Amino acid sequence: MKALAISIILGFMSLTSIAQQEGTPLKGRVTDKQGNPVSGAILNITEENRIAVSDKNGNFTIKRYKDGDELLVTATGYLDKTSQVLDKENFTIVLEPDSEKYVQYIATPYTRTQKRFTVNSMSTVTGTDLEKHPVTVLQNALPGSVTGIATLEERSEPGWSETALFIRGLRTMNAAARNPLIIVDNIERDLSFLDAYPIETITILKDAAATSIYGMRGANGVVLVTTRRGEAGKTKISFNQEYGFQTPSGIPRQQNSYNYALTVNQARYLDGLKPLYTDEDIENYKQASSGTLDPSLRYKYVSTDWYDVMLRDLSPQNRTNLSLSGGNRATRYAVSLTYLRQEGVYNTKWTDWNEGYSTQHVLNRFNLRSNIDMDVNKFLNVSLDLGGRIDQISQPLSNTFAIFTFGSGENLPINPVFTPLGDFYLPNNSADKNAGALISSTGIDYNRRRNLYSNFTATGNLDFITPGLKVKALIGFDAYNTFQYQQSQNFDGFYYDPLTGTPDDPSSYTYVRKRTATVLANPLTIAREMSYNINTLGSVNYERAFGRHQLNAQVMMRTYQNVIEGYNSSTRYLTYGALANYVYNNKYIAQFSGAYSGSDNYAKGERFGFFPGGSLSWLISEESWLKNKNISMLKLRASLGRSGQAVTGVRRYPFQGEYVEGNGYNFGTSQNYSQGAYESAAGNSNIKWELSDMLNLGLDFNLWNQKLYGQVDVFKEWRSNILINRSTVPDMYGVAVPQDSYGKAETQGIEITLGHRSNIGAVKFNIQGMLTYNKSKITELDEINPIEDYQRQTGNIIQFFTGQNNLYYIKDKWASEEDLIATSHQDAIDNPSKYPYQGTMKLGNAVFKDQNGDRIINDQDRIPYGYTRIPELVPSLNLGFEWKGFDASVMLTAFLNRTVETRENMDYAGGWGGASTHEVTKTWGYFNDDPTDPRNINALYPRLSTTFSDIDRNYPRNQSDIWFRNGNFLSLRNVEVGYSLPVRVISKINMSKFRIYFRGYNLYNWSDFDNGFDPESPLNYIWAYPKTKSFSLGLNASF
Amino acid sequence: MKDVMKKTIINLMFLAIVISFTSCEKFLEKEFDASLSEEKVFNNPTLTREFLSNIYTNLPDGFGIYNDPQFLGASRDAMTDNAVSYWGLHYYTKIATDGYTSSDHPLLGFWNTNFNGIRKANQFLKYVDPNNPNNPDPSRSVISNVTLSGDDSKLRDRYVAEAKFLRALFHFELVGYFGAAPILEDKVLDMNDQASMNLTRSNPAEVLRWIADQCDQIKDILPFRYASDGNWGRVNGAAAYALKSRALLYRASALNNPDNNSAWWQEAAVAAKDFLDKNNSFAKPFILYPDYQKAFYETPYQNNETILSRSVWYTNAIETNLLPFGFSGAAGRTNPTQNFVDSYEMTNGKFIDEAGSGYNPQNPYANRDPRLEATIFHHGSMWGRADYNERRAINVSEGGTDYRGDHGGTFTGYYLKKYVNPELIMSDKKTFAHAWVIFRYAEILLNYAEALNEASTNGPEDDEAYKAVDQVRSRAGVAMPNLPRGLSKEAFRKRVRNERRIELAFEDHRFFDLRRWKAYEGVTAANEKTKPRYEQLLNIYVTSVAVAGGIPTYTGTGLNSSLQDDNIPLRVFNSPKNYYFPIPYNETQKAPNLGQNTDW
Repeated sequence: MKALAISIILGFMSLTSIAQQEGTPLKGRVTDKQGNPVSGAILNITEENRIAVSDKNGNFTIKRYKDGDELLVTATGYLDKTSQVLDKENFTIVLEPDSEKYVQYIATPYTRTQKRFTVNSMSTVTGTDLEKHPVTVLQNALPGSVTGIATLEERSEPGWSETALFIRGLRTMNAAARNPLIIVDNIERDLSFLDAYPIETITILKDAAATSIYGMRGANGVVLVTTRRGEAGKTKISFNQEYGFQTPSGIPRQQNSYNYALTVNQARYLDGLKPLYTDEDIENYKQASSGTLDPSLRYKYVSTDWYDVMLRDLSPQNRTNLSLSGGNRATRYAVSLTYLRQEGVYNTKWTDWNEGYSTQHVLNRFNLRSNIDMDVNKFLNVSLDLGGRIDQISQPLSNTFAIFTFGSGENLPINPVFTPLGDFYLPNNSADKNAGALISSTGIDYNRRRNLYSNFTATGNLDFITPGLKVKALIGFDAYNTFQYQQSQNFDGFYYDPLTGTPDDPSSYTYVRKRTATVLANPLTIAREMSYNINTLGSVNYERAFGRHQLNAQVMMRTYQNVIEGYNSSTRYLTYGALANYVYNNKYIAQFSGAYSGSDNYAKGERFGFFPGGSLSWLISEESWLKNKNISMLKLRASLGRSGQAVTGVRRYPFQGEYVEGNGYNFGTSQNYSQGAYESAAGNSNIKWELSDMLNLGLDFNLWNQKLYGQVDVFKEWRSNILINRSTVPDMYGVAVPQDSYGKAETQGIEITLGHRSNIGAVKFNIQGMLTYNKSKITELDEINPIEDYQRQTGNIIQFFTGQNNLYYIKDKWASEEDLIATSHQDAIDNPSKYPYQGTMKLGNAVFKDQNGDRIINDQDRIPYGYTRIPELVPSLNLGFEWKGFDASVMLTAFLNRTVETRENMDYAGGWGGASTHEVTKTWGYFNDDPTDPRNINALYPRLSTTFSDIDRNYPRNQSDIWFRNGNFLSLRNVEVGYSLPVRVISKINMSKFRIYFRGYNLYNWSDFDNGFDPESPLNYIWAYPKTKSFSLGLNASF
Repeated sequence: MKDVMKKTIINLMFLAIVISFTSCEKFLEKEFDASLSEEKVFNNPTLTREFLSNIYTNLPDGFGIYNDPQFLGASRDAMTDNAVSYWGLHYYTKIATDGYTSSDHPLLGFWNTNFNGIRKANQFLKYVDPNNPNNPDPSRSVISNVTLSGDDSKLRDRYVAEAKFLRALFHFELVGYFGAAPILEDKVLDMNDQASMNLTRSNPAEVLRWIADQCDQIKDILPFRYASDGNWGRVNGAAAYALKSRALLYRASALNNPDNNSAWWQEAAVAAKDFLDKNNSFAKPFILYPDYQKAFYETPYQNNETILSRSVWYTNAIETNLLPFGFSGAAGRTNPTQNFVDSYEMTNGKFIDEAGSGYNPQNPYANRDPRLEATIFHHGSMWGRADYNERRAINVSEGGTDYRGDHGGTFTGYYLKKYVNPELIMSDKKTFAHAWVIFRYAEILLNYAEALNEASTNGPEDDEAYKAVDQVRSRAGVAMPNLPRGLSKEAFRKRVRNERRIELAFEDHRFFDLRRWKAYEGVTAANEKTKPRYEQLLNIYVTSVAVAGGIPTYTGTGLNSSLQDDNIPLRVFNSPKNYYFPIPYNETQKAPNLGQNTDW
């Protein structure tokens, strides 16, 4: 692949050199309006790649110039200029200064707006900035790049990575209604279609006035993606090659067999059981762990680090991108082709185990993007945008969960990888507990995805009716297909008891067969899935300035249709919308948007809602009394709007009840199954779309020419129509009671961006801080009066899991004195000094707070506690430096006010396979059972035990603050160091840019967790593919 | 010219917008909707029949729980003095120790299951029963009601009767667990009429009377037994007679009959007698199965004792959950208590503590009621397929094969044998046909005897009551001696109650029987210690076996032994609180008219 990319590059270079065969050099000069020389301006001949750079006197020489060639001149701080040579002798090009405010446009829904005239709460990042993150999922590049968002990396394996994105936090109790809307080039799409290279900008639309135009889809905010389009004149070729590596960001190491044996014996001691391992065993395990064991005992005593067995240190990842853009006045194009290869973390010893094929987890991804614009005539412009993604994922057939959970996480260090006879070892109670075998010899699972997305747009220019009038029609067709096939395989797996038999004599052990080998089978094809979307958009636009008035308005109609193979009608939305932005005297801005939007989820006559939004803004810096060169921009904004959310996770037609066939009964002496039919769900005509009403106030400023710039937004949202369980319908109703659109919640928050840009001598630097904070509150839940008022959920924050009531036992202390433990409830009541009653409690068990003082610990002693796994507070800091071609940037992001669930097997997993991590040393009783030992008093986890008791490690008592931990962390999210060769040098080979760089992503975390636990998802090492960090070296060359 | 063009274009644009507004409304119409609605189901005879089949899935199922070995996989008798289940987390342990609340109570699912069943039955009756007041069109029915020969004659009437029986049985379940219950009659609750859902409860005696009346309506419409093999397992007339007998027995019992109205006992006796008379009029009546142990693993339809059962059929979950821990893959979740084992008489008809019983604590299982051997695995019981080399003696001595381990084993020294099919090969674990018995013939006999005795002033007035009990005791292979005649009311009560305990053990009777007898009144763990262990309800006794030189020594089987196990918490029963489960807390808040049971 790489070779292909290079040959394409070379091809282009040779084409350009063929074109350079005729013509003579041209000399000239570049100046500003005052006649001062402009140095460093790049000149190139349109549609070719010969370039020149002006020197400090503004002079340049361009080779092989021929008459009629157009020159394009670009220089930082000036507007681009195209020029034809009229006077070869005294050729001077005069550049207009580019005062930012006149040219910067920002993508807004269905149009673009001059940045200074925007009125809503938005945060934008460019594709160039996103490229800095060597990630395969774009969402992961967003924290720290924009404000108002939080992410949760839910899955991390190549090709299956998923990162949930939340705009302005968790704002609804309905977990099925939280996804933001993703709009790519005006069409609702999936962000995973894209990589960073073809992206011009991503804009996060946060306030409801900005998203109301999306009607029933905009309530959770909108991610507005705009892809790059070609510009007339410049033919730009950009080539990017990156090589990098990924490595797990955290793997909690298991104890070696020596420490494990000690732990087991200590747990048994605390449980009053005899030791399992003798002193001799322990000594031998110690030697096995340190590698000093007498080889004759090697079959008997082993110490396996299953993560060492399973993982490799570095997994290669590489990426190649080739982007081309350019065109002439009539036709413009932008093309981007990316190839990504991402390999898994499995040890090559296992993935290369079989001759002829590898079982490594590998993602091969091709991303293609082609945007073409054509001016057919002066009345008609058409554009055709095509995008595609092909993913090929191959991985071991044994699923990731089994490999990590059984193969390693719950496996024991005393288990060998192989039997003395060289077969795979399997413990007696499992046919899965060998990561090496699962990776190497269970077969291969292949998954392929083919995605296509396309836009066809026609824009008619109706200036002849009235200047500024346009009509536009867009049809988008997206298709999604997945193909899967599997080739299964099996291995010989045997159990033997290492502690029996004569050491060093493989034949003295008894082998129990657990699995039998088979060779790689023929592929088994799994049914493929496909779906497609058809989107249409028709609009009439009007944009014109009259004197002091500027108006940009449009009316539109949009349809969305998603067709999935199967039982239901396609999903459809129909929206009529209107947008208007009016500016008076460059100072006062008013904007209105409204959508009349309908969804086919609802009954006829109840399908449509109206979603209006209005904003006002005042550009104070344009007022004559404030005009000041130190105040480049000062703007106040206010908006109020309503948007909706029709995806509520309920059945296809929630208003109607549903009966299904199934759940029959057997009658007759031969038990003939008699099919059943039953009411599977009751309908509820009151299920509606959620509504978000939001007020937003904002301030934008830029002082002393970016010495201090920033943006502040504060908002309050009133969310209503949230699906909840009503307290008025008892279970006596007789069938699952449908939820009702009755709940309400409020969220408020603030987003701040503050930046400084400056230079000290030749060192340019910038520093930018961002902060996102939001806090939600349930205001209406129609809640049943809880037995204890402190368990009321209304008024509390919204939980991540629907229905979970975030009630936790709170640990007071570890039981430390035997005579403080009551023998019965009555005893506890009669003798309050023997507080607290816990049933059969032992020293070192958790003593929970008796919240209601009834001297019994039960369900009613749980209280609301903690935050959710989605951070409320996300501060971040970006630093950048440039010096003589060198550049560096660092991004730090913290996820604060968050809590994460851990499990009772964090330390010693008596009930979960028995493995223990180094975390076990923080367990009560690990060293001794002296309750006065400070290591016990300060223990993080309750009493060590061979089994889980129901006191503090098992349901329901595991719902406690012991296992629900502070999830705050600070992440070194991004580091980039680069060096660009001087343009003066590379222009000689017609290059405009040549840069080499190092990039790192998620390089280090600071958190409350140690021993390798990743603070974002601390248990993913055991139950899922671990989160990774990555770094890469790359080069970028532009022509 | 230009103006004309402008106007035309503007007009066309408006036209286009108008057209799109009108035609695009259709864009949101359903393309197709193949889902079923209530009307579609009950307009279709096949779907209507299927709907009735589905109501049967709400029948009580004492075996379904075995699919959750962790929290539920034990006999419900583990909530009584008959058995324990081995770990503290087990739901039954919580219930037997009053360790639960109305908001944190593992078995409240009974509330929903039965209301779900009632709703289904009433939906069915609404469309199929022409006499149902809610029937939208009584003149038509998709189920034919013509007279034919065989079971399907007047099929609509029969379907209506089946649904009414099921509805009555669901109400009976509610009364058993929750006491006073709403009588829904023909009501199908409507979510849009929330006031109608704030139901009030009728007291248990009223509900039980209503159930008996429902049975009267249908008991002669349903075939007493079905002629066709294909209808085996359907609700039959006998089941309606049996439910009436049980409902009236419960109604007459102390818990529901505070004034001890003896006419109620009389009615209960008549209901049982009606069953027996009707049964005896048939050429192929329900009879006692001639092998007590096999009666519980025999292929269900070959068991002429079963009146109504819950179809479970091919499974080995029952075997693997019950068999002693030492058999590969077995969990041994139900551990019968010494209290229960002691309740078996000697073959001479004497209780073990009676003078001249011949009971030997060091050979405790010899000369006992044969039903002990058929129900219990004890130390030394032989089990396993000899032809597969799996036959061996059960060894519950400390460290023995069947002693307790990390994930199972016995804490009492016993395992449950009832229901376990001896054909099971541990290494291949075939499945066997099982059905959970809801009504069987022996129960009716015992209902009859108990009702006659309680209706009398000084003990049974004639031989009818004795003969009913003797019939149960003289089953082929059990052959226990007849009861001595001339017992006082008190003495007969003790005998018939013990007979019920033994004969119907682990069939979900003990839990309800102890409550309806109000057997816990005045009982404390301390004051019951003077009674024989088989009469103690709160102190749980175990046996421990030590083997020396191949000779077992039993500790705990001695008559005055008080061996208990620290791991088994003392049973707790607070009166009157624990006579009923609480109404689920949320339900009392949603429908405050329900009220709550006493002390919850």
